[in-house]
Amino acid sequence: MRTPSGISAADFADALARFASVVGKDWVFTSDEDLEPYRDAYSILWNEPDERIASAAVAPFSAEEVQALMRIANEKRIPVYPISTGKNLGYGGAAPVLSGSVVLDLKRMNRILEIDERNSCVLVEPGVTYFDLYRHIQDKGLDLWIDCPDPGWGSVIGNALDYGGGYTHSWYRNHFDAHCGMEVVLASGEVLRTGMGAMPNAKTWQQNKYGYGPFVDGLFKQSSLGVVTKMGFWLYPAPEAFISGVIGVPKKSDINKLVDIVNYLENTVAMQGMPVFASPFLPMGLPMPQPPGMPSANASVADQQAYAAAKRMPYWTVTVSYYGGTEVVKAQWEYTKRKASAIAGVTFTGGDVIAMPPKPDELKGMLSKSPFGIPALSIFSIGARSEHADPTEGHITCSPIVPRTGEGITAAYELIQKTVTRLELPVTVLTPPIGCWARTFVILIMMAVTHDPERNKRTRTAFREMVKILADHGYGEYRTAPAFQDDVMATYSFNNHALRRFHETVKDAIDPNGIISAGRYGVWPKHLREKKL
Amino acid sequence: MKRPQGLWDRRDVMMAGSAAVGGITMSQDVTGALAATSKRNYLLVADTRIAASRDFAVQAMPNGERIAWIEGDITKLWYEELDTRWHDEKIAVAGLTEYGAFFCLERLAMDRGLRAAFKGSHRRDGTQLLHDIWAPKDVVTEQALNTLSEQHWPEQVARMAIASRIGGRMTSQLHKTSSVANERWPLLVSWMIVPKRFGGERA
Repeated sequence: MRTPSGISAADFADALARFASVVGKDWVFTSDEDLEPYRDAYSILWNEPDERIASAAVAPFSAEEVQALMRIANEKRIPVYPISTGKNLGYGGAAPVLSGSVVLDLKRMNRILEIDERNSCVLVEPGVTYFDLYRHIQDKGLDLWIDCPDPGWGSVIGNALDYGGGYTHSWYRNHFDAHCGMEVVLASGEVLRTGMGAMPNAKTWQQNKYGYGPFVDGLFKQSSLGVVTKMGFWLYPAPEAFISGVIGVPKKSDINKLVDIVNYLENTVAMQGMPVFASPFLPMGLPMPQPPGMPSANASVADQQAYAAAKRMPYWTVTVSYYGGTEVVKAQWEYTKRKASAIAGVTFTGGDVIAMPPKPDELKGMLSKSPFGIPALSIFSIGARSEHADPTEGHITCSPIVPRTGEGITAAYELIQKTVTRLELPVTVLTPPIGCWARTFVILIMMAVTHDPERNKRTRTAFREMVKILADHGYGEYRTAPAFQDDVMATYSFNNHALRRFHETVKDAIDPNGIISAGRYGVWPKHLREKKL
Repeated sequence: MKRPQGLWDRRDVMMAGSAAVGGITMSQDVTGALAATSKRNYLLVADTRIAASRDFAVQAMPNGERIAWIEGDITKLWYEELDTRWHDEKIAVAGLTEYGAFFCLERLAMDRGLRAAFKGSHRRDGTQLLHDIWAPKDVVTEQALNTLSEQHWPEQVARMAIASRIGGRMTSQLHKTSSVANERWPLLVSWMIVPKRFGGERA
């Protein structure tokens, strides 16, 4: 049996026995077979000495059990690593950041505690998945939508706490922003509620985010300060109709004006759906089949534009979408066309009204149903593992946040393309700019993970270099795999790492024994921080 | 109607027999256990687009509950069947699919207290088909792997997977190269997912 660093086998056995007395022995896992689900299937450190491996896992059933476990862990100085369902593949999965931690698996806490159709909100536990919440709404026939990531197998709370994003209305796509109120168990075992929930018998915990006094919820995003045991979310009242249309523009430089128009539409809520920008001339990662004679991403702009003109295809497109009443979405699409007509040569396609909810035949053939708040696993059918050059074992993702301007996109892709080529990064997918969150884009640079340690080592070195180069140009990662969390935190270095030092001060005050999620997102407890230095 | 626990019928015996005549050499202990155990049925998953997947399922059908057909995506299978069913009954599931379907199902299965008892990777490399098998060491032997034929490997692998249902942990990895790859799929995976013997299931 593995033991956490610095903990004797006898002390660890005693802690596990006490854990078992809280949750029952069936819910304490120590065998290799039982711990297999707590390995990161996409680990870039697979089978290497530094792979992040749990010493044990324990699965409580209630917040009270979490409190009891934390008291024991705090007393015995056992490092614990809470997970909701551990499905954030590419960003660590269920594996702890600090090897030897005991995974606190909250999957059994899977109750939907309250759902309010009139105020469109819900209170859930960490084990509730997007499928669970979707099913609950369908079974009860509620006029509500969820906003889910793709794939939708993960935890509603876990995804929000990790700063995940979705695909429906802009007010709900930022999953952390869509939350309203938390219950958190601290390292001491004490439980606190945020926002209105701090008032006993509060009637508006899931309706008012801020309550009274400083807003502390952000401290628990990507955090090591507590175990979130309940969380409220605002849900989307089911819209009546949906329109999707495509705006095309002929020149590369048209992107500047196009992004500004889309931003205006989005920021005035004249357009609510996620804008999806694309160009056949963007670099794509692995070579994709292209029509003969089509200029590559590296060809001259003149050649690319001439080809696009000859083929009557736009240089850039943006797919825009609208949710609401039939009259409203029709008017919004017309308004969009009027605004975008300021660009010479602009084209418009689509714009048919689809009544919601979509009928099965309307969903048929759609790879992703996420724009309609329907969770799916279909993304795995296009590649849990790349089959292009040679089989790989998942991916890690470099995900810089990029300005929401055309100039921002152009500059970012130039830098990324140059850096990927120079560092020979094993990029499998380089996405177009993704507009899931308002005001910025995120670009996903996905790299292959293999079971070849030498190849993974080269990828890690190149990945770290990429993170530094992007940061030098002002592009920060919004999350990353455990192997790189210190590297990314190091790039948020304004004023001699004032932000990290602040996190450490808070960590030392809230969790003085440093037992929760040591190292998560680059924040280490004092005893390990000093060792690292 | 579900077969009452504790009974076994002639299909069990036939399966054990067919495993032997199909070229799978199993230890005496395993053959005995296979015949004697009160086996629960298993669900088969088959991809309509993949001939080898269909062949696997048809071979395994006599003792299987039924075939759930997919086209790569397992969303419907998960949402309409396994997500709820695995709460109440840890039914075993087997199939020969693309890697993505298996990967996804295996991760979901582990959350519910099930595990893979058999995994076969069937990878096309030029004109060759490379088979890698992970199975309980008592169930599938090197000798069995050497009998894999170019035409009938999906059926033979199905018998191995079924036999692995009652085996122990997957411990042995065996490798075989066949001379001709008829499949256009770059990588297929045959698998059997079974309930773990204790703990780990979601409440």
